[in-house]
Amino acid sequence: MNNNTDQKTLDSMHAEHGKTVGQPFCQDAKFSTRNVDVFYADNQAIYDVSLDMGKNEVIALIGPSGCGKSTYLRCLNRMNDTIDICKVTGQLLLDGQDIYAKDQDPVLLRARVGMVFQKPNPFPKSIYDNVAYGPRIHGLTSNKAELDDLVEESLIKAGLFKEVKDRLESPGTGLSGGQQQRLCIARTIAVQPEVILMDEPASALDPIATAIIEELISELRKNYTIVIVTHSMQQAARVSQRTAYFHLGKLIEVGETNQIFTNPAHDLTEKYITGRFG
Amino acid sequence: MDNLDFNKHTSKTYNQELEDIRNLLLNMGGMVEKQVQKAMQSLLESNKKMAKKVIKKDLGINAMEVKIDEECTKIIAKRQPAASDLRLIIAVIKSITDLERIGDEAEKIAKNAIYLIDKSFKSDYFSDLENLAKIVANNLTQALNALARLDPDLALKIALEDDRVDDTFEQFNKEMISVMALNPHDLKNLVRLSWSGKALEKIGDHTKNICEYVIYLIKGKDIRHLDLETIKEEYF
Repeated sequence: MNNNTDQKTLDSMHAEHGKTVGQPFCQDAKFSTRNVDVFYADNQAIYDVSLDMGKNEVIALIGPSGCGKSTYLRCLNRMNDTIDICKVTGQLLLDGQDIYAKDQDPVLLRARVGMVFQKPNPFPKSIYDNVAYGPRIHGLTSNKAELDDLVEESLIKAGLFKEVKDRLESPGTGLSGGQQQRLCIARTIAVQPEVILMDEPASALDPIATAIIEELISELRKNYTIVIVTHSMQQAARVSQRTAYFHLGKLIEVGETNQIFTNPAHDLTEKYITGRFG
Repeated sequence: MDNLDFNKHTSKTYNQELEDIRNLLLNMGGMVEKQVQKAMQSLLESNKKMAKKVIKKDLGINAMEVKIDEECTKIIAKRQPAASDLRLIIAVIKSITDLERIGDEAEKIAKNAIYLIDKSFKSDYFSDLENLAKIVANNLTQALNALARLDPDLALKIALEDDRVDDTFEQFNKEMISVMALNPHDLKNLVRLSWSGKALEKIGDHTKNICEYVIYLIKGKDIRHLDLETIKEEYF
């Protein structure tokens, strides 16, 4: 999609699309996905999802378990490629380039579109090596001093540097849960991605560690597009600018987060966020 | 989204909590409605005992406001309500403020009644005040019905009726000014009568606010300070 789509064109696109309520498209799209279907063998998990993710935007994907939000998220950096029976169709464009094109190297794509998982998963290596791992394999630095700088910069951006600067050679697995998750974020940032995907990044953390991660997300938004899957309604309301509601593999409603949490347009969204599903 | 089911949450306790605050709100509405009715009756029938009772009962209304506020705070802390649940809590918190103020206006009318009874003051203009009171009391009853039935159409109808209250009060006020000019010896008593009319007009304003909260709750649109005729065209 043209990144400079004007409001009038956007309005007509929303109206024509018709299936999803609200505003699935945006003016300054980093990611544009159209008519995405995902199948696990004969089972369809995602039905005809069209959604844009804007530059410097945090967009929250919400919905009940099994609604397809994580499956959709994993399409965005081709994590589903690792599942043999998974088939993705439709158009997924990052800066206008098809991420499922035959000549697209998924490893390079994942450097541009990083991912943070539910459970912190640091490598069984030192704090330093956890962050340096990606830059090393992608050859992002040419000498030790540059690598040192990149590790420090990534740890600063992840809000962890002050806490670990005197023990960079200690194992990453020795950190607390919240610190480990920030280490994973530092590891993701170190390869200089453009988009960060987060799958329930704070669900295993206590409220203080969660608050630190949420602060970090707001800070990271200045430089990255962030797509976050969360089961916490309050978290979605706090960190995102837009929220997308999935139900049984379909994208039901997308809108400004404030609107979704005070006056959703679709009955299914209302039922989900108010806890009216039995 | 006009069809709101506050008893369809997965958590039955949550259903009960929301049901409880709705019931408390409607109880408070009933109490306030009765206060306005009794205050006017005490004035029109020169019933000092009844007026004193109205003044005493206002304390109960104030206590009710505090209790409902506490219950709403508990729900916000425990449930972090969203969407229609959030709008319900906000509408309840706002409505009880207006109901409490209606209670205060009823108390003012009762105090004026006691003053006029003590002065043995009677006036032909009691009937004009009674007409104003009938419109105001009816609107209040209908607004509370709209709140109980979650009926935005009725709420809008009553909100639009406030113009009639204002016009009737204006007319009453003009008459009072003329009468005061002609009867300066009765000025203190006539001022009390005029204040009672003003109290009724204020009750009308608070009633309109309650109607606006009902529309906010059901339609999700904050229509305060907007032109109601435009609202009618856009959202109804």
